[in-house]
Order: sequence, then C-alpha cells, then structure tokens
Amino acid sequence: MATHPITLTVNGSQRQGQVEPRRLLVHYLRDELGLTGTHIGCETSQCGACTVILNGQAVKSCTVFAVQADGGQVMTIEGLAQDGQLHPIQEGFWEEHGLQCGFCTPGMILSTYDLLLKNPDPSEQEIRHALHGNLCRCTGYQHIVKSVQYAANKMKGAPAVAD
Amino acid sequence: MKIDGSYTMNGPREQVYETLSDPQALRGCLPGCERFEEIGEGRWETTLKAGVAGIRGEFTGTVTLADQKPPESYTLSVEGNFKGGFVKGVGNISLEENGDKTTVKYSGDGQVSGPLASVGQRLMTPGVKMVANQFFRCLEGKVGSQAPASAERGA
Amino acid sequence: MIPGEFEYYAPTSVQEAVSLLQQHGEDAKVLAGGHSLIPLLKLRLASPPVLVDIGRIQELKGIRRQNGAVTIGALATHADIEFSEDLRGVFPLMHDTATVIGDPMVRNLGTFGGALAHADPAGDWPAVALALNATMRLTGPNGERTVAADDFFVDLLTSAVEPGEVLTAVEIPVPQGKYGTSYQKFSHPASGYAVVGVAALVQMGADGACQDCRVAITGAGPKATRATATEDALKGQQLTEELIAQAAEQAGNGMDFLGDIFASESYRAHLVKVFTKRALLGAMQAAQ
Ligand SMILES: Cc1cc2nc3c(=O)[nH]c(=O)nc-3n(C[C@H](O)[C@H](O)[C@H](O)COP(=O)(O)OP(=O)(O)OC[C@H]3O[C@@H](n4cnc5c(N)ncnc54)[C@H](O)[C@@H]3O)c2cc1C
Ligand code: FES
Ligand code: FES
Repeated sequence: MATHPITLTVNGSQRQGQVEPRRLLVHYLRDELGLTGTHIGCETSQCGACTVILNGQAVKSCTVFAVQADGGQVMTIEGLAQDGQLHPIQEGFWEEHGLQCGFCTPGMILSTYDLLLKNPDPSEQEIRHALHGNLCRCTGYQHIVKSVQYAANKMKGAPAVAD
Repeated sequence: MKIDGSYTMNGPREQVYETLSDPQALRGCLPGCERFEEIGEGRWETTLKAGVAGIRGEFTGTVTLADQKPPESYTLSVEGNFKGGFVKGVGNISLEENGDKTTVKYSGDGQVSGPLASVGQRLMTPGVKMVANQFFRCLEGKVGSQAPASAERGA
Repeated sequence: MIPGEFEYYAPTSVQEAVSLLQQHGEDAKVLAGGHSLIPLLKLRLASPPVLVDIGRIQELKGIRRQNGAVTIGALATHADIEFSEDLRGVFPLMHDTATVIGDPMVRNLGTFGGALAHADPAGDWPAVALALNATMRLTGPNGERTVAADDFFVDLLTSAVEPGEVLTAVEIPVPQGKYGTSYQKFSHPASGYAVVGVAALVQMGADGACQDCRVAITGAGPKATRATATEDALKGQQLTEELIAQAAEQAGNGMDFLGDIFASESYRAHLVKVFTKRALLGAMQAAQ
C-alpha cells in the first residue's frame, strides 16, 4: 500500500515521515518519534490517555490518522516543560498530588491545557466537565481538580503560557 | 441480547409459512447470501455478507430450522463467526392470521462476543431489526409466487 | 487496533472530492472528523478501500448568518458551534447541545455535517436539525440538491446522502418574532450518547398563542423522529404547563422503541414523554 509523506511540527521541531494512511497519530508519535509520554489506554476513543494538542486543540491521537495531521502543529506532554522548568499545569499536578500511577496524567494535563486556553478561570464544575473525556482509575479526580485550580491561579498571575 | 418484533405480510398463513420455510426463498432473501448448502435435514451452511449502512460483516456458520409446526411456528437457530466476533442465537417464529394478512412474530435470544459485542452493542439490536425487516420484506415479495418443486424466477 | 488498508485522498475543493468519489464508486467513503468512522475502521466493522478526507476543504468550514438564516458548514466542529456566540444568540440550544456531545476532544474534531450524515440513532444533532427545520445542501456528480431535515434521516445509520455526494452545508431558518428553543438529553453514563434526547422549537404569535412548534426525538428509536401528535396538540393554543404535560403524553406515539440492557423499550417510551415535556417547557420559557 502506498505511503504518504507527512510533515509535522512536533514540540517546536519539524519532523518528516513517510506513513501508511492507516497509521494512527498516536502510533506515529510513539513508535516513530519515540514520544512515549503519549499513552494508549483504551484504543477505542474513550479514555483520553492519548490526548495531544493538535493545532491548538486537545484531540485523542488514537482517533486521528497521521496523514490528517499533515502540515499541522502537535504538542505532546514532552513539549510542555520549557528549559527544565515545569509548566504551571505540571507543577499543579505535582503540588496537589494530581496523580498516583501517572498513566492518565499526560492526557489530563493536555486536556487541562485546552481548557485553560479557552477558559482561564474555570469553576469546579467547568473543570469536571472539561475533563469528562479523561478517565483516571487511581485518584478519584478530587486532587486532579485541585491541580487544575492551582494551575489556573498560577497562570493568572504569571505571564501567558508558551504554546 | 434479546430481540423481538413482528412483520405483517400479505397472504394467507399457509402460503406465508410455506415461503418462510422454503430453502430457495430463504436463500434468496438472506442478506448478501453467497453460499447456502444443505448439510442435513433442515440445516444449512451459509456465508452471508450482511450489514447496515457502511458497517458490513461477513458471517459464516450454520442455519437450522427445527420444531416445524406448519402453519404456526418453527425455530430458527444460527451459529457462527464473523469478523467482529462470534454469534449464537435461537429465535422462535410464529405466524398469526390477521384478516387476509399474516403477522409473523419473531423473538429470540442471542449471544455475541468479540469487539462488536463490546463496542457495537448500542447499535446491535436496531441493526438486527433492520436486517430482519429487509429479510421479511423480501420474503413477502415471494409469498404465493412459489410453485413448489418447479422452477421459479430468480430473486 | 489497526484499521485495514485503504487509499487516501485529501482534496481541497468540493468538486475534486466529488470527482474522487465518483471515480471510486462504492469503494470510497468520505472522512470528515473521523469520530464515528475511525472507531468503526479500527474494529474493522467497516473497511472501505478508499477514504476521501474532506477535512482540508476550506469552503466547508465556518458558520454564517445571512438573510434570516444561519448557514453552518458541514465541517463546523461541535466545538465551533459550542463557542459561536453569534449562533448562541439566535439558537441557544445549539450551544447547549454541543456541550453535551461526547467530551472536549470529541467536540474539537467531530463535525456537524458528519454527525448528520452518519445518522446515528443516538446522535444529538439529528433531533436538533429536525426541530429547527433545517435544510441540507448536498453536492454530487449531478450538481447540487437540497433535502429537508424531515426527509433526511432515512433509517438506522442511513441518511439521504447518496454514495458520491458530499453534504456541504446546513441552512437553518431563523423564525420571526418571539420563539424559544431547548434540547434536553438523558445521557448514557458511560458512552455519553443520548438514551433519549428531545429538541423543541416554540414560536409565539402576536396573540401570545403558540403559532408553530416542532419537537424531535433522538435515541429512542432507529432514527430521529418528530413528535407530530404533540406538535398538533399545541399549535394555535395558549401554552400552559398543563397543556404541555398533556401534549407530551402523546410523544413517541407509534414509534418503534429501542430496548437494550441499559434502558428497556418501555423505559425509553417513558423517558420520551418526560424529556418532551422538559424540552417544551424550556422552549416556552425561552420564548417569553
Ligand atoms: C467517545 C465519543 C463520544 C461521542 N459522543 C457523542 C454524543 O454524545 N453525541 C453525538 O451526537 N455524537 C457523539 N459522538 C460522535 C461524534 O459526534 C462524531 O463526531 C459524529 O457522529 C460524526 O462526525 P465526524 O465528523 O466525526 O464524521 P466521520 O466519522 O468522519 O464520518 C461519519 C460518517 O459520515 C460520513 N460523512 C461525514 N461527513 C460527511 C459529509 N460532509 N458528506 C457526506 N458524508 C459525510 C462519512 O462517510 C461516515 O460514513 C461521539 C464520538 C466519540 C468517539
Ligand atoms: S487511547 Fe485514545 S482515548 Fe483511550
Ligand atoms: S493516576 Fe493512575 S490512572 Fe490516573
């Protein structure tokens, strides 16, 4: 089957590849670019573990073909910290114990990123609604909500986030 | 998965029963039937390509007609494999007179396993009903047109 | 879970898409947001040999208001609709419906046109399109045609989109005078899809009576359906809570209800009445 050339900007650097059209974005990121911070949980579009930011929006990378993302900008969990400095959202999850096993965490963090871009000052209910597509089997969500609140507060004070 | 429904067709009960238990008619109306070979009394091996809209599956397995009580009822069982998993089911088909029409009632219970069962469940009952309606609509077209044991025009 | 092999095309105009579809006939399928199709491909419940990705066709994007109507491009995502203040001003139910579809990631990629073309029996937009009397615009090898929402949803997962056609846009007339809309959904706790969803539009005449009303149900049967008996019981009447409650009792009359392990046929029939009442009360209040 014919392969297609694709060019993606991943965490700020340009990556070129040759993919079969059926290659899912999550497999391209993990298997070809080695960005294994993007997890595969359910593989059936339910759990959000595979969430990445594509062209400024959170998407489930198990439900996007790499060819669909051609020409686009992708940010994975590896692209969030700048110069060894945790992003405020990462800091929030650290400070507020927003993770236990950490499996859901990259997806949680990137969904939070999407939320705070759209709504910098979310209520608790809005946070829960925004994380609806991310499942966590450990924390019971309570601390995740606190982590997001921590990040929102920190980001309101701090200058705008890099994207 | 439980499924039940009914379909009312034109024609007297005897004729409808005859059509519904006629292998030629079944063969012509089973959706996407590619193979229908008798492997015993009232038992056939079949390959079907059935589906709803863009969702299509190839089913390979056996169809059995049993407990035939003309013109009232029979049971129909299917068992076999398809791409999305394994299916096994038994259905009871009963015919009731309804003026000059006949109401065919079906009720069945089936087990489906595999990915279709886990993810497609939401769509399975309505999907089966849709295929059943197509099946009965097709059979309705054949009621009364059979001259048993003589050649008839194809589907 | 890896889909079967397929050839992939990414046209940049509707004309190009239509000719690709024509060229490949039955083998080809349109890919929009992929949030109904890709899960099916991954399970290999569908294996079309050719996918025509319409996601790069600019002319299918955007939401516009002109001449007493709103035109929503087929590629407008659920999120585009959720965050369109303009649309929310005219039809608050568009925003309310978008926010209860799936989750933010699904809404960022899933499209309005894809949801309508797919005709999922539990999809939310089919009910809204019926209640708002939308008109679908399609382009195929023989040019353009339009289909009213009432004729668009044919059966389970079957819409009026013919093979070779692309749904390009959806036009929704903005009613004159006082009107209100509402969408009420009973979501499945795991899948998020509608167990039952009801969309309502109520339009008031100068005399304060209900001049027109449209009610549509999704989730309960094999396809989205209007509750015409309920509508007829309200047209020309001064609306009260009692009258709405009475009319809602007729919702779902003659419908072929779905039943599954989560909700039986009779439970869905009951929910249809309850949610019809809520949607109508919501629309009536919004109209005042
Ligand atoms: C986890 C999850 C939860 C969801 N929850 C909900 C929910 O609560 N409510 C709800 O309503 N939906 C829900 N959905 C479905 C979602 O809304 C889909 O986005 C939508 O049904 C299909 O839109 P799409 O753009 O993704 O279409 P695709 O998946 O790309 O296409 C679907 C079908 O429509 C055809 N098609 C698409 N666009 C066109 C066009 N313009 N012209 C012709 N044919 C076309 C395709 O060929 C295909 O057959 C959910 C999906 C997921 C994965
Ligand atoms: S792995 Fe993509 S949503 Fe679960
Ligand atoms: S921390 Fe373990 S799944 Fe969320």
